[in-house]
Amino acid sequence: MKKLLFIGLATLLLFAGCATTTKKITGKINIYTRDSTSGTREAYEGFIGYKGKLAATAIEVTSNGDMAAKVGADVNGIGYVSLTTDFAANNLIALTYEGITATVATTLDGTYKLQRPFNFVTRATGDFGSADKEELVMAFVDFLQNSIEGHEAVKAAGGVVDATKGVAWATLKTKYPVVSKDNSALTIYTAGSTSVDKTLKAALEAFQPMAGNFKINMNQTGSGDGQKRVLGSEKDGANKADIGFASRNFTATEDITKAAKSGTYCIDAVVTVVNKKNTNITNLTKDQTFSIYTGTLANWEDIK
Amino acid sequence: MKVTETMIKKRKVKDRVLQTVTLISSSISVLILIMLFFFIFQKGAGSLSFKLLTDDYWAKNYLLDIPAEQTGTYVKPANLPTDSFWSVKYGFAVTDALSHEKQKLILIEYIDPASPLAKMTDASSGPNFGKAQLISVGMQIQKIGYVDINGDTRSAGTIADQNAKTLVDTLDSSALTLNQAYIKTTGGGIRGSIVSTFYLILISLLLAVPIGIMTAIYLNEYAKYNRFTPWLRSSIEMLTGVPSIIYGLMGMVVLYPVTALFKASGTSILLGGLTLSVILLPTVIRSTEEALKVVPDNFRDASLSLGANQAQTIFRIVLPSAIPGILSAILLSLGRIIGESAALIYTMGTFVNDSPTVLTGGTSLAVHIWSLMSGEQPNFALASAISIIILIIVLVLNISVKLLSGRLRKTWQ
Amino acid sequence: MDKIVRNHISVKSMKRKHLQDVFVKNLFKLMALLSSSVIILIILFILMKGSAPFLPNYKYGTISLPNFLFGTVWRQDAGIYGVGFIVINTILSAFGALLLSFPISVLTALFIVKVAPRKVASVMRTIVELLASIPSVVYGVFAAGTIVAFVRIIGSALGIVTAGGNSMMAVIMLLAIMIFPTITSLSISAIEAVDPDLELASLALGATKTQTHFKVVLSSAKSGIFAGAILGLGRAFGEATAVSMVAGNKLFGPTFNLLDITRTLTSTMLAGLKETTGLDYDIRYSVGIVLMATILISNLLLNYIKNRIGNKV
Repeated sequence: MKKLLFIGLATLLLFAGCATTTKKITGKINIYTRDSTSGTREAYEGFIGYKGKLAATAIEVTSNGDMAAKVGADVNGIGYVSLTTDFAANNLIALTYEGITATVATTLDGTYKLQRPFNFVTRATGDFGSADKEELVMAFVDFLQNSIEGHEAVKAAGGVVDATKGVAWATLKTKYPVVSKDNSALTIYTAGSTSVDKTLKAALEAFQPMAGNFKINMNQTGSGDGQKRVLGSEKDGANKADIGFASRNFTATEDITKAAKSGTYCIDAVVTVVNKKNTNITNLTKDQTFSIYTGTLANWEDIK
Repeated sequence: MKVTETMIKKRKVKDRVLQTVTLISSSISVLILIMLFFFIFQKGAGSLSFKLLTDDYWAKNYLLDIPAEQTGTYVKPANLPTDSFWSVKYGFAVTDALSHEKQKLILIEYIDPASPLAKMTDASSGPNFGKAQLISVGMQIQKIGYVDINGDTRSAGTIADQNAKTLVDTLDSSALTLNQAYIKTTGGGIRGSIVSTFYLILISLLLAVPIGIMTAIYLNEYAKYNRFTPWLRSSIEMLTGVPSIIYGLMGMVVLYPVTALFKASGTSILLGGLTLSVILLPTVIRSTEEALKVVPDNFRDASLSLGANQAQTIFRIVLPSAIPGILSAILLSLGRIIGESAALIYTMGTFVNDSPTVLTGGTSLAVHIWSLMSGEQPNFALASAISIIILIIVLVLNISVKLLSGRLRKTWQ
Repeated sequence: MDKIVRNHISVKSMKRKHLQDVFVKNLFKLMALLSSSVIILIILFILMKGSAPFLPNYKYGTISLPNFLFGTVWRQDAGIYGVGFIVINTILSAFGALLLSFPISVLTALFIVKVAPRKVASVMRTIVELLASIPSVVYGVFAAGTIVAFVRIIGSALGIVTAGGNSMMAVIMLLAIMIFPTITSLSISAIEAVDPDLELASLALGATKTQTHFKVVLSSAKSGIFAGAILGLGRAFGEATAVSMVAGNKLFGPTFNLLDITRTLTSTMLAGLKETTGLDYDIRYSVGIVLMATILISNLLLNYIKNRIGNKV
């Protein structure tokens, strides 16, 4: 009996599926948002202006990738992800914002407004455990921010960098003799934003063979943990890190003055996404987004 | 009461219905097993290979210097797959692929032995500097740095957003000399987890089996029938009702100081092994007791009457006869170790370690699966492949236990 | 008696043997005491560590006990920890699994012992054993792939939106599959233990075979079957890794909607384990205490019911 039911439902779906690809999506808008440690969320809420007014029915997801996966699986879903996300692989369509498509070019020249920096902060000078480690971390940060090879890696992973300002690593590395040593006993620990995951991993992996094959340990859990684990309350705990990342600017309460180095290594755009099957809209204005996320606009058919 | 025709008919209909329902229920379990095996094999069989068992999990990044001598043309071999592209100038073939996270990769398909790419040396500082580094089929080309006809240094490869065709075209047409290559292995191997599982089995059995056997011997041979013994028994029985995640919590609190003595910090295989041995205790004790009970008392009496003390009786007469039972206990425990996950997630950690030692963290095969599935893009293919391996091991263990207990029963009948 | 008839019988060797005996006996006694004290250690330490967040001097900020026990929100980023709704969710999912699995298990056991021909029965027994030995992670992978897709299909057929298929229904179905072998094997033992005379008597009185199976055999095997159900329920409560793969981890409120994402005690203990410290880590011990309390209470309740029903026979 259950087998028959299964087959019956499957055939029902076949017909339903044929129908929905051409019809418009109707029904409740499922709002997805990031949890409160997310820098992406802060940026998005800041630009749209609905901070504190989020609808209670919003579904919280734990990371950038999780958001992509969930909206990609939910036909009625809407969410926001980093530009580095692979839209096609996750069954997503990126919406334009106020008529502008999010691309590297529009982000660089500022016409796409929903953008935020990927910032980093390192531990305080002398707090790295060894002089070699400190030099290695400084070398990586220099590679990431300033070298042509670093920009290449970040760009390939979807980050937005101004590639014209890069310097060849061969020039930069003379400042860091440690990269010519065998560093396989050292591990660089990173923490913080999950949105930086792709660009950071690409940069670390490209840098690894250039600097003596040090080990990589990435533990990205949200922008809120970035400064915390290098300079803040968890800087000596079990999850301590050498470099913390945030997909937003560091707040006033996150004191980064003691860091050996801090700065921006690329910019990123935040893109509103819907499920691939959702053909209702292709563009959202600021007001529309505001209404959706505060719950005023509750159904897909209401969006004109 | 007279039994009428209609009553019999109604009874027959009712019976039919009940029988059908029973049949359907039983077939549901068969259906589920088939679905499970089908799903796992379908998703995982494609990834199963010897490479899977011996590779590292984390991708290795190589920076390689390409030798300066780069003259010659290379003939494309006849047996290349149709979707690969051949570089005439440098003698290698590449093909496009997608990683399980749906990222575009350029994979090496074939390298001519005379090609400069076959003679690259390691450019990373460290023990391998300058040594020849062979790259093999299946590795990814992230970047090939080259100097073009204008003297500019440029990059080709995945990092420059190229695919296999454009890479080969660029190198063949615009490149003057190739400098360095950034090659990545694809990773995804489970060698580290297999080694971790092996260490885990060693430590947990080493602890659980002796202690369990000794406890079972005490309960069966020595303990007097006083008020205390039932308490001992029930406190061991209670252990079976505790969910394994609680054992994980206990391990972190109670057993962690023990591993700290051995200089292990944080999660470690040692800690996981200690925790697991606690989980295995009830099973070992129970099976050993069963095996000891089966040994006839005549054996013990005969030995004692011949002048042996109880210890000698136990070690030379009783235990050897109980070996099949103990062996089946060990096999059952083995199955439990391989399947255990929740307790180990807490005590061994979830970071896949390619070179685990007893004092570092690692992942057993089951925890590796959990780690793969709890990321943002669950890696079904690899998880299913590891599941196949686990299922085969568990199957073999089960069959062995059955054979052994069959032998045990026959011995005493 | 130093010089005696045989060399190997002397006071010295007697003494040695006796000492050996005493040593071995005490060593084994020690091991037995060690084994039996483990459960006490578990209870003690988890109680200690789990109650720490509620004591006044807790270093990360004391949590109020009533808020914890009866709260309906669990948000680790905001520091709000309410386990009340999670307990309700856990009970719902475990009992739901039992409801789904119990009839199927009992009927399968009946089929295997009484109805099926020899060869079919032994194949079915092997199948049940196989299902019992599959580790929970493998069930989790299977559930995350197949059951979740199934729930998605049902959801779209009914027009209800699901969060990709992770839902209470997926958890219930998964748990039902996992506890099925447990209940079935215990039911098999219980049915096998039914006195064949009872069956023969019923048949002699004119009942059909099916009538006998359902009215006589199953009722006599009642207490064994019930014991199987209790064991299965315990397993459903304690299952962690597989459930965490399909639950979805909702942040608030008891979930009564089958197709909505949910959160159980065990999935809470595992969620986000890779990155926790401080209060968030310690609170999992408190959840552990709640879990053990829940299992204990439901076991006691069910045992009480079992005895009451048993007495009625």
